[in-house]
Amino acid sequence: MRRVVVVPAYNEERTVGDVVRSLIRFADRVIVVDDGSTDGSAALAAAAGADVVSHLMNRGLGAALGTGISAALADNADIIVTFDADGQHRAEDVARLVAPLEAGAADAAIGCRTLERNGMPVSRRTANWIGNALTAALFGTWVSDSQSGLRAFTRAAAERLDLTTDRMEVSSEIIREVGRLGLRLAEVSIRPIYTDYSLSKGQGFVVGLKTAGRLVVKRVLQK
Amino acid sequence: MSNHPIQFFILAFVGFAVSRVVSRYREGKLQTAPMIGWAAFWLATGVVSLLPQVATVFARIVGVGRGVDAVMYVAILGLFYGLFRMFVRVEQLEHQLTLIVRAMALKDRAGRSKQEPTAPDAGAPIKAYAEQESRGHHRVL
Repeated sequence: MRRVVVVPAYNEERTVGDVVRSLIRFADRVIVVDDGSTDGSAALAAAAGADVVSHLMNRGLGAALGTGISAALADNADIIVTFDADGQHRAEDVARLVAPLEAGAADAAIGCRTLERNGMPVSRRTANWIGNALTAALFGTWVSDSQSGLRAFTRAAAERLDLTTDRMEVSSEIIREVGRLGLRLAEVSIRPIYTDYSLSKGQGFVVGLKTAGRLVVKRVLQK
Repeated sequence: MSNHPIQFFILAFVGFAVSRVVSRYREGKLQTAPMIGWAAFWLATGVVSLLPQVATVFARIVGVGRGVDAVMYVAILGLFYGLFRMFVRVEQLEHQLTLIVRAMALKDRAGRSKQEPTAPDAGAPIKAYAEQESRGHHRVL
């Protein structure tokens, strides 16, 4: 099965090269979506062996994931994996994540950082729980780590995803889609790598509030 | 009952606003329901300006007290609603911009990798947006 990993990246020159090199072993193709970076992310990703798709300007995580999934589908992917560029995921976890999909036991998988105590800081654990609770309250689907950037979809599932948000709220929107489409979801425990850098790349309090506000508006407007 | 200059200014503005609503409706830029809504809003403004006691009656009905307070509350609610509509519209425009950026990125990729067995369909995001719109995903209140 053709496995394509999508890595959305915005100003990630410190980590994106190593992330791509670590992924090459576990994927048939690595697509880095350079989301309007102003640093050397695109060049470093290409040098590391990635297929780079560049946004002319920064459009946000959801926009980059949408572009990456479109590119992966056009690339005849059977399995599409999304993977953060900040170095918080381990490439080895990709193989464990896609196993239920390749076995035909699930349509989508999410790498959960919270199933085991993995040294996740309390503040991050609390923020994640709030994200999970808000996602469940708005869209009716509870998952253990709704904000995880490590996910996998079968081609059939990815083709049916209807993603309309451009920013961080895409994580919750994907969970909404899992529920709406009745996808079989596998939650796979993963071990994140927390560094000062990867923690600094997460949503801060203000961005989190804005994300929550947009999700509420999204739900209000949803028919 | 004596009239104050401010009432004439307000009435003149109401007349201008109603004429704009009607002309935009005639040009086909405003649909019937919004036209009726806007015309009713401006006419109500004119009535309250000419007969402030109407606002007092309304205030008593809704239990606010003074007519001018009721007018202020309604105005603030209207402003918040307008702000919300503008937020939704900006979000729509942002998403349209994303679709353009995506289409350009995929087109550029297709151009770079002509040897690929299947070139990405650069028009797909635009088609997807049209489908979303037809399903009411981008409804503006």
